[in-house]
Amino acid sequence: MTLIKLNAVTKIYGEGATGVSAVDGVELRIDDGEFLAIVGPSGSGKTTMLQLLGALDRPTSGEVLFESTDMARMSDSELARLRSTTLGFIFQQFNLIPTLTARQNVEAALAPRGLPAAQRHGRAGHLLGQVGLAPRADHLPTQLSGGEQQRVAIARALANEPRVLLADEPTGNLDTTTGEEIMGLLQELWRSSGLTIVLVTHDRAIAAAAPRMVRMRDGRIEGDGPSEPVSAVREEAV
Amino acid sequence: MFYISYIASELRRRKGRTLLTALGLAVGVGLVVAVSALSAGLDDAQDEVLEPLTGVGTDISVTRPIDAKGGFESLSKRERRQLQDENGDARIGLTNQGDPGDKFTTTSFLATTQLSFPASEVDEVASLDGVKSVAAGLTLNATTVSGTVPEDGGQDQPGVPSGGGGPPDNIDFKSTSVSGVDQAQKSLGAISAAQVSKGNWFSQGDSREAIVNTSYANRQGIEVGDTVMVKGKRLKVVGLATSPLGGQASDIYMKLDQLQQLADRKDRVNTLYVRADSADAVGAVSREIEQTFASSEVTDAQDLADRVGGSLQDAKDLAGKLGTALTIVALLAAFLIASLLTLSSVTKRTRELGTLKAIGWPQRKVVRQVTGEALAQGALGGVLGAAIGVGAAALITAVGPELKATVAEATQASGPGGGPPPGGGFGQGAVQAGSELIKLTAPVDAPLLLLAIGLALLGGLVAGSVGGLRAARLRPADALRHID
Ligand SMILES: Nc1ncnc2c1ncn2[C@@H]1O[C@H](COP(=O)(O)OP(=O)(O)OP(=O)(O)O)[C@@H](O)[C@H]1O
Ligand SMILES: [Mg+2]
Repeated sequence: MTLIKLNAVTKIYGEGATGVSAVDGVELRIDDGEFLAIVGPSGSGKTTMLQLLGALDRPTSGEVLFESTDMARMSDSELARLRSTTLGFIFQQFNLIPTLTARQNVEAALAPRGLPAAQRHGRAGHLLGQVGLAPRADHLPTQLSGGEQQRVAIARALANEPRVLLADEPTGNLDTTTGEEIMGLLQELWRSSGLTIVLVTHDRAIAAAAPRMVRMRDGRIEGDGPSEPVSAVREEAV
Repeated sequence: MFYISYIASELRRRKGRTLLTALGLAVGVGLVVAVSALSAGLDDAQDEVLEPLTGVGTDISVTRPIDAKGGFESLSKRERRQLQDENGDARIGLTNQGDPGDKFTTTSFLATTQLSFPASEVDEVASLDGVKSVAAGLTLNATTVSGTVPEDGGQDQPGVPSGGGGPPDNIDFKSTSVSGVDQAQKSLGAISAAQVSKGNWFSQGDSREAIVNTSYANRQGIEVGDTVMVKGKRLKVVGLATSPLGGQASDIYMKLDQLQQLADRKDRVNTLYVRADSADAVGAVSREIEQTFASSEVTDAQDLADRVGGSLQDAKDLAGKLGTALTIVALLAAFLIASLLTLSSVTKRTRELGTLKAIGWPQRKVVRQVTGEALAQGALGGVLGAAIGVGAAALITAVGPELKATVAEATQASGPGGGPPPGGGFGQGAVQAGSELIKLTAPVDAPLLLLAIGLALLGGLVAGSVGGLRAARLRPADALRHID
């Protein structure tokens, strides 16, 4: 079943001659429960794609359909509700709120739902437990390692039981080991639930964790198919 | 409510910014509190100066000045003749005093700058709306001439030694101001029982008694129990009275009917002391009297207040003009600082606020977050500002700077044929000119503190709105793009 569909989507930053086509006439279909990686060199339009898929931005032209509803026809507050209830985001910089504890950061995602405080509190604790951070629940982001911060961010992204998890370079700020741990966590999540995951990375080894790989260049999709086996990637890298 | 704990965390964990914003607002509203308290203290100080005047119970005094509006023409023939008799011919023929070489003493009574009117005006004024009570008074200058009848008598001397040559050496002029007081009215009149600082008020019978002004008594060495002479009559001094600054001061006070008799002014008075039903009625009563009582002049406490000068007045003017300007500038500056700090905070938190939008916070909740933080800082600033204001006010009160209240001698046009001593105070007689030192206080009351907190909250609201507008313009994509 198609969850998200892009029809001739173009995103141009700026206007006229100075305009940059970050995404240029892209066609893409993502099925429910898929795990795909978007790879490509820097500036190829990966982040822009993720923004369009995640209803963070509107395309300059073309259609972004979510369960066959055109996002162009949704108001800003409807898009906010869609992001809150159906989508989860993970960022390269973790994007935790620095003045809030790990638990409060997870609660921030639950806040728009207006849950009673105790329920919100309990759910945040449970989610932190799922990513292995129960003992650090009351720590501030500055008191956590990068990997721990990203785990908090994953817990926050999962808070409202989204159908799609969108991650932009989630391991970009982590060392290889920690990055692999985070990828392991995402894979485990994907296997144990019906979650759809879209992962943006420029690292082919990371992308290998996903069964499907979309390769981008200059705002266009250059290739789309099963990811290369990890061993092949390793050989290429050597 | 998640956002309340979020606000609390923001304020607590960004102490520098919180304190800076709150302090900006606090200094602004603290200044409002201090200036307002100071200005209230100055009002109190002025009231303290005026209180003895208004406090004795006279709200309005009514006189008939020589240069009254409408002039003599508006008066009846009989009234005009009466006034001429009283004022027109105040001359002392020395030859009338006896044979040359004889010793003599003679006293004549002169009106001050005000003319007399029939005592029946008391009832007229008393019947007006808003008038609570009325007392009549008669204030005159008793000029006593004593000496030896000159050999070459026959030439008249002016009644008052003013200008031109002066009297012969062997003639002595003495001028004393005397006020007639209705002894039945203890709290309304030229003096009141409350002003008697030594001794007693008049007895109700017709024994001849006097109350003497303290400063006159000091000059003359008069004490309670002594006697003073007024036109050959001995008056027993029953009390000493102090006149308030700016108030009316006569040298000697005596019973009204006795003065009227001595001065040959039966049923004549020259001042009405009026008490209104309430302070609010004073204006209306003043106008009523001016309309019904021909050629009268009405003076109320406000006219008196206008005559208080000195550093007290300077401070009041300063507080009124500079204080208000300073307050407005300080408040605007405080609001501006709070707004700029909030704006810069929103800019610094672009990615954080964008992230909130990205994870599904609706626009209004992001705006509410920013506004709520600014409001909370406003509340904190209000409390701090109230404390600063209370502290500054307490400091002013503790230091208690002294201010001088000065009342100048009245500069009223003197009558034709000129020479009567300046009058025109609250009633008749000379104005008690001079200075008084008043300790300044700066009282702070609850409404003022509430105002301070309200203003700081308003500042927070302004800053929050500015910040909220900026926050509203952030895009959810800023979560991924913003570099910090
Ligand atoms: N807000 C913007 N205004 C103007 N140009 C932009 C903006 N955002 C992105 N671009 C441009 O769009 C193009 C695609 O950018 P995008 O961030 O999507 O690339 P990316 O593949 O994510 O690169 P990277 O791997 O470096 O993150 C780039 O040329 C970039 O300069
Ligand atoms: Mg990118």
